[in-house]
Amino acid sequence: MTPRSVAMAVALFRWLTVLMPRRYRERHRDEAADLMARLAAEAHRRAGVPGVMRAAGRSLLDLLLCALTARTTRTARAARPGARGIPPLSGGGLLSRATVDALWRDAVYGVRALRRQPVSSAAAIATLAVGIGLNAAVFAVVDWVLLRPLPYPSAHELVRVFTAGTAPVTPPADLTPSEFVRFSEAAVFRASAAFSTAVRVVTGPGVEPTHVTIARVSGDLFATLGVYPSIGRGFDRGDADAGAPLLVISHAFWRTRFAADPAIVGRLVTIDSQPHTIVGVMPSGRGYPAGADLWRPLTATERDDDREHVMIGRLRSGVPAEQASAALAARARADADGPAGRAPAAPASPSASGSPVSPPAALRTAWVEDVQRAEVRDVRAVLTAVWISAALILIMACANVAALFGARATERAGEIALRGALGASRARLLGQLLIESLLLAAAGGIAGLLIGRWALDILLTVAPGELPRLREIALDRRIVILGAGGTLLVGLAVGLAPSLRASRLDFRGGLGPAGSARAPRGARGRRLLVAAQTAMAVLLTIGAGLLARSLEHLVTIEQGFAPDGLVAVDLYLRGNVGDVRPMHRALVERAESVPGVRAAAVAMRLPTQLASLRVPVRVDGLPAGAAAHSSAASAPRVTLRGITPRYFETAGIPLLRGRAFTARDIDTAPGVAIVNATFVRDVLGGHPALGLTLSATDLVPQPLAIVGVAADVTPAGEADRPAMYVPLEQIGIGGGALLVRMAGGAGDPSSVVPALAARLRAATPAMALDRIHHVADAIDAGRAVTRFNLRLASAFAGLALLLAAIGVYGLTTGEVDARWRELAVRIALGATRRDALWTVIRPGAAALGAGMAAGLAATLGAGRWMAALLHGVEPADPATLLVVPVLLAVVGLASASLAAARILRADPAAALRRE
Amino acid sequence: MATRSRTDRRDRTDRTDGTDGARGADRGEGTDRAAAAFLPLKPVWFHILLTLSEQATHGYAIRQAVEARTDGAIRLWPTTLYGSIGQLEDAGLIEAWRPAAAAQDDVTRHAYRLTALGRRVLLAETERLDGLVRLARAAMGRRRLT
Repeated sequence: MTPRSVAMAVALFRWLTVLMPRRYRERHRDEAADLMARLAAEAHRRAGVPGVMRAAGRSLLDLLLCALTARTTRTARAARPGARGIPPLSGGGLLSRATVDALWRDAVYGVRALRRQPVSSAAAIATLAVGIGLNAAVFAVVDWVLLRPLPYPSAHELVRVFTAGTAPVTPPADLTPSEFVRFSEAAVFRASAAFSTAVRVVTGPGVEPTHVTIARVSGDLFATLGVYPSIGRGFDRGDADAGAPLLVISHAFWRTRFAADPAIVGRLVTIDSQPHTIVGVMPSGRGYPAGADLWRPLTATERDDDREHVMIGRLRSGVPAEQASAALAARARADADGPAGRAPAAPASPSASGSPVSPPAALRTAWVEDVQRAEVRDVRAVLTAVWISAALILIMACANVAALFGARATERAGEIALRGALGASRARLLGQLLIESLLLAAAGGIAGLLIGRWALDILLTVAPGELPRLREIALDRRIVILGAGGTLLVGLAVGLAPSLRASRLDFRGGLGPAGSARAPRGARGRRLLVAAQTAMAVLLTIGAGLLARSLEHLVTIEQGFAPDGLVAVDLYLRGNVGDVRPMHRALVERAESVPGVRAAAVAMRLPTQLASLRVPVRVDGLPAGAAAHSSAASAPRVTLRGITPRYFETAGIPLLRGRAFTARDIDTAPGVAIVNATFVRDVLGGHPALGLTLSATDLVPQPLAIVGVAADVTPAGEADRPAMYVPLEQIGIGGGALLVRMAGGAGDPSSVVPALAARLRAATPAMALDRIHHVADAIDAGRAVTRFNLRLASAFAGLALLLAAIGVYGLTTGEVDARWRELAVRIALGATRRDALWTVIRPGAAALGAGMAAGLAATLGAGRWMAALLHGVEPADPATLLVVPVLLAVVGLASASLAAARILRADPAAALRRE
Repeated sequence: MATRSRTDRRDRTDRTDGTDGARGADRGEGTDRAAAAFLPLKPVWFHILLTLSEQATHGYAIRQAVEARTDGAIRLWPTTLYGSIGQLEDAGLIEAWRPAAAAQDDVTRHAYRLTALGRRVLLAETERLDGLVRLARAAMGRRRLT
């Protein structure tokens, strides 16, 4: 059986082999680890755990030196097969044998010195480990998401195209298909493609009906990305232009839905009742957009003129983005000016809200942005904030350890002076002290990387799902190498200043009586450090406080409906041609027959989705001048919400006036509508709605009598818009969701889902039932980003508070040590102990106060930037700004008092005698 | 590129050991230019080659042999040992070798053996050292006489 110390040493050695060049790792990692295991086991037999530690230490030093040499001399080229004359790995390379041996002796001595004060060494290592570990984990995320190029060849050439109106000014948007066609002809692109994504249902022989995200592609997507299917083929520009019914599927979809069938190519599946042939499977983790399950050519009928086509292009090599932007801007201008300009989108058909329709003479511009930058725009702020916070924590940790190390060097002034007097050069003394700090940092770094691995796992489990490249993120070689470099820097940062100070040969001072009355050297610097730590702690704690308040706001927000106990079934009915009404009735009936279900209804959209089809509506019977903003002549556009009778009861939306729809409101009955409160306010100008009639001739020929007024729906606090509810029975549009209300006390809503799915499946065999969810859970998932931010910020704030407290404690301890004799004299001469206590607490308190003021100022300065992460809370939230400093003052003063308390117990006579 | 660095190395070798004349005479007709390109050998390389000249063996045994031979003055820690082995392999002085009777369970460990070039390099280095020693002895002997 392998002793644990041996197994750990070998695992560590194996893991750190990542620092060596790839060629070495591939050929000799196992052999070297095997040898390491033998050496460690031998050492264990001879000398137990200390022997293992020596053997491991020597082997790791050897590994680090070899890695350093391999990276500083150009072995990479020489290591090619057949190359001769290879520079040595170590021994005769960067460092001579004698130097290595001297280093080893210093290191052994350093370990002894560290072991002499085990508690403070352990504290320093733990502090650094947490700082380094946190940074490794956070940096891994930042690196994968923000810094590493996307996994496509020459990813820097990939750009995304945006357009916007210049007169009138409209926000950045994607393109219309016709714009894409013209832009793709620009000479700056080697290849380009555009796509729009949509959710569809895939069925087929042996394929359970499933919702999928389809990217409908025009242009040449695969040539643009430079990545082609790993099985089968892609489709090219010709296929795309012809709208051929071909499919390329993602690797994940292939694995989960087709059990990684190698003979997938040529299989037929059905989308929207159209047969499609699968022609290829993308490589794992590749394909753009990353969320797509399937890619297929855009069909001619789908080329509606909406601005929802994302265009990506590959620039010709050497073409800078500015040049491409200029070329596209010129094209966009020419389109708007030229007689052959794009015909304006006809507003004849109901168009989805949110897609700006440009008037014919609108001036447009266009530009390109790096694809990766465009993709991470939403998370950049959050990640940068997290990154900065992690760096602040590391700086605080370094400050504490530097203070500790400085105090220790001061204590050892006698030993250092003695060695100097005996002839050790300053460089030698400096080297010895630096080795000690590097050892501390190395121990902290190794422990930190282990902590980082674990912290990253936690980070990834709580990270919001929309984080780009979430599944790729790992603590790999690159992070470990950077971590090693960072650790080296930390070691220097922690040790350099104290070592320089301590190695200044001041024989008389160092060899004189200990603890003389002069102020400790570097005390000012330490106070500054503590003040800076306090400022960072204030910043981080206020950030966490504000996020907590945001989440509180999001949780208590009035939704306007009752998400608890509400289950939503995503119905995708497009392509199921024919009359959908009998199906709606069947679905509602089936759902209501499930035990534990109180009511069910079909609706075009979930109550969480405010945006929907908008239709122009004319109000009849409104007294002249009563309309708020629209004269009767121009028809305002209102949001259309088609529902079945028990919708309001099911969703839990209160009906303010009038009645709900009933089973009698069918297409042969008189037309009816229910409007919401915003409609009454904005369209009717507050005029009583009941009794008025609406005409929405785009939708139904007959007039609609307003029979009720419903309360507004405000999911996540979003303001509702003017909307009218109409019976789906009367407009014959397919519903998008089935809503099911659980009876009170029916238990966990998700427990009825299987029974519900089984009942519905019997009614509609072709329906995809993979999207059934509890609405409250979905709303909760919408808060995931804020909750993630809060968890991170709380963890950071907790650490920052702890480190600040340790800083204050250390400062006060130093103060007590330095002034021990003075205080003893003062107490002996009659000063009260309270005075003495205050004397030593004062510097800590002053540093705390200064730090708090600086932190508050920094918080206010960062307010605008922080506002982007907050919901319903001002960055200058008075409650948070008041609570945090009080908390910090209490924590800081408590730790200062703790450190100073021994003065109360001290015997002044004993202190004086000690001299 | 590779050619140039090889030439550099040879130039340096010729300059530093300063035994051109004597060595040329020693070697006689068979000047082994390919082997000479590697001289002088690093001590670690020399010891590994020396160990393998006795018998083909694996890393752990090389370490044991070198440590025993040098009375513990040279200890080959894992990365130095396998780093050097890799470089010697790349240089074509040794090669991985699996004896026919190798244990089936021992899949990670290779044995290594000298190549013909490796043997020539080891010989050339030994001769070079020998020449140096003789030169030094001769010089000291003369001094003692005068």
